[in-house]
Amino acid sequence: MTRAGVLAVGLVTPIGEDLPAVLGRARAGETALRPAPGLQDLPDGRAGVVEGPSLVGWLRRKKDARLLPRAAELALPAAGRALLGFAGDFEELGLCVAVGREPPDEGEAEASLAAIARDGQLDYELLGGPGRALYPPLLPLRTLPNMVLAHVAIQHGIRGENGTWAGGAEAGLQALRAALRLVDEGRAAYCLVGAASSEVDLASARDRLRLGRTFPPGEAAIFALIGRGGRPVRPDAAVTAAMRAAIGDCGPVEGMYGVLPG
Amino acid sequence: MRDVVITAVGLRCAAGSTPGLPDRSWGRPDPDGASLGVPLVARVDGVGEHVDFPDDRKGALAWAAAADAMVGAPAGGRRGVWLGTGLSSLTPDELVRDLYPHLRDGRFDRKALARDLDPDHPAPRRHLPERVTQVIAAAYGAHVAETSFSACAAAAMSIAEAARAVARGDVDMALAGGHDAMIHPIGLLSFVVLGALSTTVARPFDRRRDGFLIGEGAAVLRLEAESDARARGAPILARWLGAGTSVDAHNVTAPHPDGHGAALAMTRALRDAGLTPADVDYVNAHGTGTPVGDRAESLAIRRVLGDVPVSSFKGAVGHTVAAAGAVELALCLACFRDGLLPGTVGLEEPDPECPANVLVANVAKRPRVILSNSFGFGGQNCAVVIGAP
Repeated sequence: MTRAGVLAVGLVTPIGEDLPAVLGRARAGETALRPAPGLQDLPDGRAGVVEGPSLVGWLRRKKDARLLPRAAELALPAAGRALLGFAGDFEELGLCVAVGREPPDEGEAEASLAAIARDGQLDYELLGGPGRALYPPLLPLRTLPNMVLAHVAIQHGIRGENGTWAGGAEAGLQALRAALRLVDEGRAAYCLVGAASSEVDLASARDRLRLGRTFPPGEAAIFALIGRGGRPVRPDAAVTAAMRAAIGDCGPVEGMYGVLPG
Repeated sequence: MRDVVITAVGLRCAAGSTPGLPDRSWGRPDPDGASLGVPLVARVDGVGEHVDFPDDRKGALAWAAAADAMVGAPAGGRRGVWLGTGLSSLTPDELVRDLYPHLRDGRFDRKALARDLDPDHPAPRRHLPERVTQVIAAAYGAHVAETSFSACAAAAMSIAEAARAVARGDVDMALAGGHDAMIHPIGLLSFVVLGALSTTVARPFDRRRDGFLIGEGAAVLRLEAESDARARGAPILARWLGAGTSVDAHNVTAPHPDGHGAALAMTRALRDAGLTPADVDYVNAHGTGTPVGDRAESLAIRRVLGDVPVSSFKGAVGHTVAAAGAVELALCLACFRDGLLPGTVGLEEPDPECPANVLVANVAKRPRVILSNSFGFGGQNCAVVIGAP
């Protein structure tokens, strides 16, 4: 086995964007869980919501901002910080990303979806008329979870071996294991691995409650640059638990908080 | 690392459930497409709703394919399931049962939505991308369950991850593939507004191509170590040789115009397989039938693999989106069995702007090595290489 470890970490969370400070706040029991806009009518309207983040310096073309799903907005600064100072070959840099559920598609499409309803049923004639005319053309691009990976790759010119994993907290660790194997098997000398998720909208939060997930939702992103010679990855349950309490349940991101800085 | 073979396949696509080379388009007119100006869709017949996947057609398709792939599987052993999946989107059932009851004056009543927390509705479970993988993994006693959400490259990437797990000895047997079902009103609408669907018939690599035929389907391959399969006399449908992935890092909707990312994936797949371009006898192209995509892919194939014969199944069975890499690899198995390189259904006038050697009709030749491409929205690319048994 090649020894691969963490060389750099970048993150965006509701309790900050500086790793030592964020970990310190989480361990000290600080919490960002508070009443969240849009969730006030739910039984527990709290969530861990990131203010911002600022994309200044992390987005090469401002016009790309309209294409970004929320998880990608969180991912870009996190990935960018993990890559600061990286002098390797971006064409061969691996990229493994864990994502949460797809963003719901009824928010922006509300006018279209409402326009195709007749007497509580979907009307096919209206679908081809106002339904089509009102449907936001960019929405499909924002509901694809792998757009997180796409935007990170585009911003940095990353073209190496890659993949997108989905599936709760486990997805973060699956992406991490895949990244370690990429390095171990020699298919990439370095790999950017991370997770980004946001479930603080009404539709996602409502789905969570209906699935019996009563812990408040959160949103965050964390990325790590791994390569040979770094500090070994040690999943740390205490850090994960503290982070969850501080920022909410972020699915795949939660799994990734096992990554410690190199 | 152990050599890996494909020992069984389960398939559900518009052309049926038996791997074979489709010789016509399975696109048919459909009410879901008619009002959106989508003349044809390639639906799967004979798969109804499954009790574990209510209102989730892709789950039902995957379940059926996985069950077929498990026929004759060895008992016990360490098992894993790797599946690629696509968008769940809003279904008509979800709209009617879950959203429209809360529609007031042209807007959704958010207070009413927040109070309606009925746990019995299938929508929340259907929106979990990992659920199909986990249900199938639980059913077959698998201790690994991974879900790829890499758009149209998801199934191919899942198969590649599974093959590597078998090769490393992480598992003794892997079920790997993908599933997707976007032939419903909102699913079709999302492709229509992107201008991705053909308004006539799908014609991959044709001068008149204008988009793809939307399909649905699932395919699940059973992968095992060759030594295990041979020891118990299991049929071997193909040998796993390798895979490569890349990202275009160019644009979220359009491929790199000269196919740079596609070429990288194919080059890495050859390197992983320990092969040279001359070793490849046939390329199963991603070949959706979009003007930009087909040109970029054919440029990449020409650059990496030269004059190798190429064709696309998507004019026949449609683009099965996240399932495409698995469905088409399953169909490729028939090339080994039947000694044929398939032509491209729908192709009549090869586009000179697509410089690859695209086959119009079947060619009688038994390939030794096949490379199959899958490229996804967002620029994720995967090429896999399989060999004759």
